[in-house]
Amino acid sequence: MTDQTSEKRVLVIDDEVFIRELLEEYFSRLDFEVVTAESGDQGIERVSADRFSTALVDLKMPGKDGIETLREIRQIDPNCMIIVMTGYPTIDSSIEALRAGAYDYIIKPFKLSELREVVERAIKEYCLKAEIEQIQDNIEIVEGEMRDYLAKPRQDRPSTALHPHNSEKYIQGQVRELDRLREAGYLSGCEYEQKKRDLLARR
Amino acid sequence: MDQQNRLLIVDDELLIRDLLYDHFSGCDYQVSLAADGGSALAKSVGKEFDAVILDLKMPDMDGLELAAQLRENQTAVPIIIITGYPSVDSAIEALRNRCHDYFVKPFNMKKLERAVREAVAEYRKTALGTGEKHSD
Repeated sequence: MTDQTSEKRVLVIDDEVFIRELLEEYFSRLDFEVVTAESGDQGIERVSADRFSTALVDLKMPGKDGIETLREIRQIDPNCMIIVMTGYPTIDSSIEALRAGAYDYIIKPFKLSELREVVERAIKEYCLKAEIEQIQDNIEIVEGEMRDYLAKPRQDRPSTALHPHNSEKYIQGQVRELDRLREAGYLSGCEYEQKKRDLLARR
Repeated sequence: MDQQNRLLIVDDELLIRDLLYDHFSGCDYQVSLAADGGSALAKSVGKEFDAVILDLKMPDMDGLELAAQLRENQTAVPIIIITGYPSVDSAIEALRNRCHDYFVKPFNMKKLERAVREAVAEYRKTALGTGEKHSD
């Protein structure tokens, strides 16, 4: 789950002080809350203590390297979007980053405006993921209620028309959510149609 | 849920298709084969797969372009790239396209099989995956 404040909180993990300062200054000016760490271990500590929408992680660091750091962060907070940065791109490290679930892999030197775009996209996805989780939780609750309802003898069941999850307002709200997810590319055409049909069938 | 796992393999090299077909059929997968992007798309009409193994370089279409088109039908289908011409650029593109894995030919069959198994398990576990499954 996310909260309002974690959206704009970015963690920068890089052993080079110049990069840390540059990114801290740049993103702070854009109204992000920036926290820095000079090693993988310190970055992992920060993630354990606080929630970040995005972490920028340098690949080549003394001690724990970027890939290992990425893996550990993903274990602590699977929702955190991790952008790998490196001045030494290799096929192996890009494959490892893919396997470890990095959100992006960018090559130094990069334009700050490009990095900003990547971070903003990452945050968008972070928020969408949180919304999807929320919707899925809601669906589970509704399914649970349905099961309870059906388990009751018919005469004891309350009228379905009065059920809040069958109300027109609720259904319309959920349809709007689906439209948004479809627009953002999170649902394929068939998934969208199927989920919409299921919803409308509750009427 | 306990039906056979459906695997789509797309590679223009006959030898690779044969090799993968024999191996994965032997591991109890229901395997569909395609030699290029066009026939892969044709095979995916009205059908869902639990995983796709995809060559990057094909005569009619780039593998990642095909991946994007397959996902039009099945958003979350796990895609595993195999390529004889690895590059940083294509690996980064695969990462950005949320491919499940990326293997360089010649690959270790056991590792590829493990990647497919993990991809399928993950896919079936996610709610979107089951949502897709329930729709048939």
